Amino acid sequence: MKTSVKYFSLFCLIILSSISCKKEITYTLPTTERKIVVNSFFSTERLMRVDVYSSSFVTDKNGTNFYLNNATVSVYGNGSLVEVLPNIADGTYQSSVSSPQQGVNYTLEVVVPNMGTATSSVPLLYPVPVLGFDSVGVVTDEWNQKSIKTHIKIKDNPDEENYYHLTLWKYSYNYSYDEMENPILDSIPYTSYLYVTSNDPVFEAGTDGILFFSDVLINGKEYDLEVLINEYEFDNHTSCILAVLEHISRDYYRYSVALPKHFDAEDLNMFMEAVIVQNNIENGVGIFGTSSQSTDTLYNYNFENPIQEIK
Amino acid sequence: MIRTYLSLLLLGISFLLSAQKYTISGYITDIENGEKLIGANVYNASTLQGTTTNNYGFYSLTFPKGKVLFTVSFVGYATYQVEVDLNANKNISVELKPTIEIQEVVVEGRKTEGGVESSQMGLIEIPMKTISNLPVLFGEADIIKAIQLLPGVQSGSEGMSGMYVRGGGPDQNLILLDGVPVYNVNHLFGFFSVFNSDAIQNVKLIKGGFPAQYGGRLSSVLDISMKEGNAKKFQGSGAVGIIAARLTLEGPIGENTSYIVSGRRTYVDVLMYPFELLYAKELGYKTMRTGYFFHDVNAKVNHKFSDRSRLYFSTYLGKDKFYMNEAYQSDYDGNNYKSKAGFWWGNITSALRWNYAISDQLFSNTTATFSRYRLSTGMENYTNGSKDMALEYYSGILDWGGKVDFDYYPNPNHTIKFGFGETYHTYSPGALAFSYDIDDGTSEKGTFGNANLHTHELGLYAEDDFRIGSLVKVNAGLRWSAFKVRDKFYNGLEPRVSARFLITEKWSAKGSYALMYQYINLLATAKIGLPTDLWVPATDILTPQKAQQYSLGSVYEINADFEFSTEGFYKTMENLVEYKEGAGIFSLQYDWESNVALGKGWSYGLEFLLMKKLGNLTGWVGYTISKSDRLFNREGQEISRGQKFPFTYDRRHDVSIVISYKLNKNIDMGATWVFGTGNATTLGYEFYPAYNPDNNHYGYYSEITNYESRNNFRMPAYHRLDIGFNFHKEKKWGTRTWSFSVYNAYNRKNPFFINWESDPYTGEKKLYQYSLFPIMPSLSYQFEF
Repeated sequence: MKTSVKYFSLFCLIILSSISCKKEITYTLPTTERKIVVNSFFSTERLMRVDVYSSSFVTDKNGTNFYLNNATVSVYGNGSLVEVLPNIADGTYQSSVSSPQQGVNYTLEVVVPNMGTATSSVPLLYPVPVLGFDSVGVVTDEWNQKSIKTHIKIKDNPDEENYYHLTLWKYSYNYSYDEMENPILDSIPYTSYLYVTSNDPVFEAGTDGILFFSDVLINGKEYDLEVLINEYEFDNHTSCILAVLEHISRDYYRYSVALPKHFDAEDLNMFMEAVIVQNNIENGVGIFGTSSQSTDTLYNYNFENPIQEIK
Repeated sequence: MIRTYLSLLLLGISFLLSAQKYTISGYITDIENGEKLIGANVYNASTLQGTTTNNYGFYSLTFPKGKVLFTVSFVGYATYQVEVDLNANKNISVELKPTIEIQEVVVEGRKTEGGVESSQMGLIEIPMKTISNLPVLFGEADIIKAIQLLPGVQSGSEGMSGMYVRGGGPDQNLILLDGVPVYNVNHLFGFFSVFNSDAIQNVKLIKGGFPAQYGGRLSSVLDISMKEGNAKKFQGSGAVGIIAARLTLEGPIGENTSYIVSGRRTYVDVLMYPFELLYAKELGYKTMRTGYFFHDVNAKVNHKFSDRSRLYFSTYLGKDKFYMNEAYQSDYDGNNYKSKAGFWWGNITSALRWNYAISDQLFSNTTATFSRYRLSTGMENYTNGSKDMALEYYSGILDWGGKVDFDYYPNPNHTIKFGFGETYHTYSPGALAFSYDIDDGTSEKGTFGNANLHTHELGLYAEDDFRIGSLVKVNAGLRWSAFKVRDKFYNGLEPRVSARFLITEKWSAKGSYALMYQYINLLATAKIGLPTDLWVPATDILTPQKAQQYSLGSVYEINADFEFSTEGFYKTMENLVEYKEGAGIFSLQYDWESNVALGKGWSYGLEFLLMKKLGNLTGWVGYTISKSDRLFNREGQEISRGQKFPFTYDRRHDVSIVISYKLNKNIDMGATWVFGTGNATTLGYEFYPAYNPDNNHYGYYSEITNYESRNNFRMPAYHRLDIGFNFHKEKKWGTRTWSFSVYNAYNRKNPFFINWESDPYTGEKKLYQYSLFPIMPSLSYQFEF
C-alpha cells in the first residue's frame, strides 16, 4: 500500500507538472494597416444599406470603436452612379429612397480617408419562382417525433450557377389572456421564423436547419425540395406557412454557409481547423451580397379562424 | 509503355527458367533461440554473388557446379563460412551465433547486400536492440517513436506516435504487423504506440522506391515482424515502469513448435482505486470508478512440419478504455441506480501463415488475415438492475484477407517475387445506436448515422531484383490493384522501378520511381490524431488517392563502421481527402461523403543520413530539408479559399542525432536530440464584424477572424534531448536491468498548442503556447530469465 501511495503521488506530480507548461510567445503583428470592412446585402425588399468599419487587431483594447463614419459610400448600377449613401448611424450608410432592382449589376465603392478605396461588384439576380408548396405526408423519426413532409417545387435556370436560400415562416394568431375570469379577449397575428429540417441532399450540410443550397445536383431541372416541418407547427393557431426562396449571389452563399462553421471552429480551435470565411471586398474585407425572392403559401386546414371574443 | 514493360519482364523470366544449375537453400536462424534472421547476407565469398534471407529467414542460391565458399553474415553475429562442393542441390540451414561484443565482428569479404549494393531505395531497418536502448517516455520503448527519428519521417505533435513520411498523411502508411494491416497504432491518443517492443523481432521502413509486393498506401510501408518464440528453451522477460508493466513468455512445445505470449497493461486506474473507494464512500455512493487503461497482448505460435513446411499463427489484441461507472441508492425513492459510461478503441489482428518451399528455388507463403479496428463510446443507465437507456456511437473497419506470395531464386543474379491477394473490407463510418424505455412499458431501439460499406481490394504483382553486369542492379516490378465499392470498380497499374549503379566498390548512385494507388482514407477531425478519426473507402464520389514518387540518391560506405547516404525525392499526390472546412466528427447527422473535400499535394526534399553500425558507439545523424503543400480548389470543396497552403506537418528542417553507447559489460546509455522547424498552424490576428441582416437567423453579432490562409503561422522550433542509462546485472535466475531515462533533459518548453488569451485585468491579448512535457524522468525495472 505504501508503495502504491508513492507511485500514485509520483504520477500525480508528473501529471501536474505536465499540464502546467504555459508560456507567452513574443508575437509581432505582420501588419499594422487596418482593412476597410464592408458588409452589405442588397435585396429588392429593402432600402440600400452598407455598414462600414475598420478591422480590429488582436492587440486592440476592448471597447474600441471601429465604426467608420467618414467614408464616402457610392452605389453604381450597371456602371452609373445610383446614389451616394448618407451616413445615418454608427458606420451605417443607407438610402432613404432607393431599393435595389432586379437584373442590375451593382458596384459598391467605399472611400475612406487615409485607408483607401474598397470596392465590390455583384449582380442582383432575377427571382426563381416557387412553383408549388404542398404537404405530402407524415414521417416519424428515430425519436418518435412526427413531422409533416412538404415539397417545395422549383425550376432551376439551366446553364448557370445558381445559389439559393430557403426560409419558412409561420403566420399565427396568439390569444391574449387578460384575466383568468374572462380568459380570451383577443387574437393577435404574428409571424415567426420556422426551424425546419431536411434530409434532401441538395441542401448544404452542416448549416443546422438553415437551408442554403446550390444547383450542383439539380442544374436546369424542376425539383421538389423536401422539407420536414414539426407537426406541432400545424396547430389550430397557425393559419399558413410561407416559403420564401431567395435567389442569392454566389459569394453571399459561400459566406453564409461558412459563417456558422467558422464560429464552431473558433469555439473548438483545439480540435478543429479554422474555417476561412468568404470575402468579396477588394482592398478590404466583408461581404456584399444580393438576393431576389419569390414565395408560396401552404394553408393549414387545422386552423381555427381567430375569434374576437369567446363567451 | 506498360505493354513493353510487361514483355521485357516476361522475357527475362523465361530466359532465367532455361538455366540449369545446382541450388543451395535453407533457413538462417539464431543459434540461441531459433529466431529467423531476416535480411542476413548469404553469398559465395569467391565470386561475391549472393542474396539475403527473406522475411521468414529463407534463402536460395543457385550456382554452377563446383566449389562454393558458402558464407553467411549478419550484423551482430559471427560470420559462418564453409567450402561446399556443389554437385547436387543442397539444403544448408545455418544457426548463427550472436557476438557479445559487437566490435569483435569481422565481416570477411564484402557484404553482398549492404546499402551500397542494394537496388532498394528509401529502406531503413532499425535493430530492436537499438530501439530498446533509446531513452523513452514513461519507460516504455516505442517503435514508432524510434522510426520518427529517421530522416524523412515527421513526428507530428509533441509526444505523439503519428508518422508523416515525406509529406504524406498518417493514413498513407501501410503499417503491417506480421503482414496484417494495423489501422490505429496509438495508445493514449498517441503517447504510446500499440507495438510492444518485447514481442517484436524486426522493423523495416520503406519511404520510397516501393517494391511491387507492397501496395495500398502512398507514402510508406512499415513492416513489423513479431518474434516466433524461443525454439530452444523456455524464456521470460518483463518490466515494471512508472505507468505500465509487461511480461513476455516464450519457449518450445516439443521439438517442432514454439510460442511467444507478451502482454502489457497500464495500472494507473488500479493504483487509484483505493482513493476512489474512499471518495465514493464520502459521497454516499456504492461505487464510483473513473479511470483509464490500455492493454495489449501479442501471441504467436509456429510449428515446423518439415524443413520445407511451417505454419504460423500470430495475433494482437489491444484496447484503450476510459470509463466512468457509478452506482447509488436513492434516498428519495429507494431505487438502485447505476450508470456506466465509457470510451474505448482497439485493434485486433490475426494472421495464419503457411510457408512452403515448393522446390529449392521456389518459396511460397500463403496467409489468411483478419484485422479489426473499432471505436466505441456510449453510456448505459440501469434502475434496479434493468436497463433503462443505452446509447452507443461506434465506427471502425474490419478486414478479412488472403494472399499468396512466391519468392523464386533462379540464380544469384535474379530474385523474383510474385503473388496476389484479396481483402474484404467492412467500413463503419460512424453510427449511433440507441435503446430506451418509454413510460408506457414499451421500448425503442434504433440506429442512425452512416451505413456500413463493404468493399473488395485486390492486388496482383510481379517483381524481379536483377543484376545487369557487375555495376547495375535493378528492381523492376508491376502491380495491378483493383477496388470494388458499391457498383464502382477502380483498377490501375502501378509500375515500380528502383536501380543502383556502382560508382566504386563503396559508392553507389540510385534512382527510383513508384506509382501508388490508395483506396482507403482517414478523415481526421482534430489537429491531433484522435481515435475518432474515421476510416472510409474510396467511393464513386471519392476517387482513389494516387501518388507518384521520384527519388535519386547515393550511398557511400566510409568504412566498415560508417555509412553515409543521401536521397532526394519529389512526390505528387492526387485525390487527397480532408473534411471540408468546418465539417468533422461533429457532423454525424450528415452523410460523411458530403463533408469531404478532394485535393492535391506536393512534397519534395533532401535527406541525409550518417550511420555508425558497429562498435561500442552506434547510432546515426539524420537531416531532412523538405517542403510539402496542399491544394483543395474544387468548386464547393475549397480549403483556404482554394489557394495552396503548407501541409500541417510541413517541416523545413528536421535533425535527429541518435547515439547508443556501451560503456562496459553492465552499463549502456542512449541519447537522442531532435530539432525541427515549428509546426504550421492557423493563426488569426485581425477581426471584423460578421454581417447581420435583420432577417438573420443565426443571431450572430460576433467578429469574424480574418485568416490569411491555413497554416499561415509557424510555431516556435521544436528541440529536445533525451538521455537514458541501462544498468544490467547478471543474477542467479537471469539478468536484471534498471533503466533510467530523462525525457526532455534540458526542459525545453516545446509548443503543442497556441492560443490568444486576454489578460483578466487589462483585457490585453497575448499569444500563449502550451507545452505537454517538461523534463520527465522515468525509471523501469526489467528482468530476463
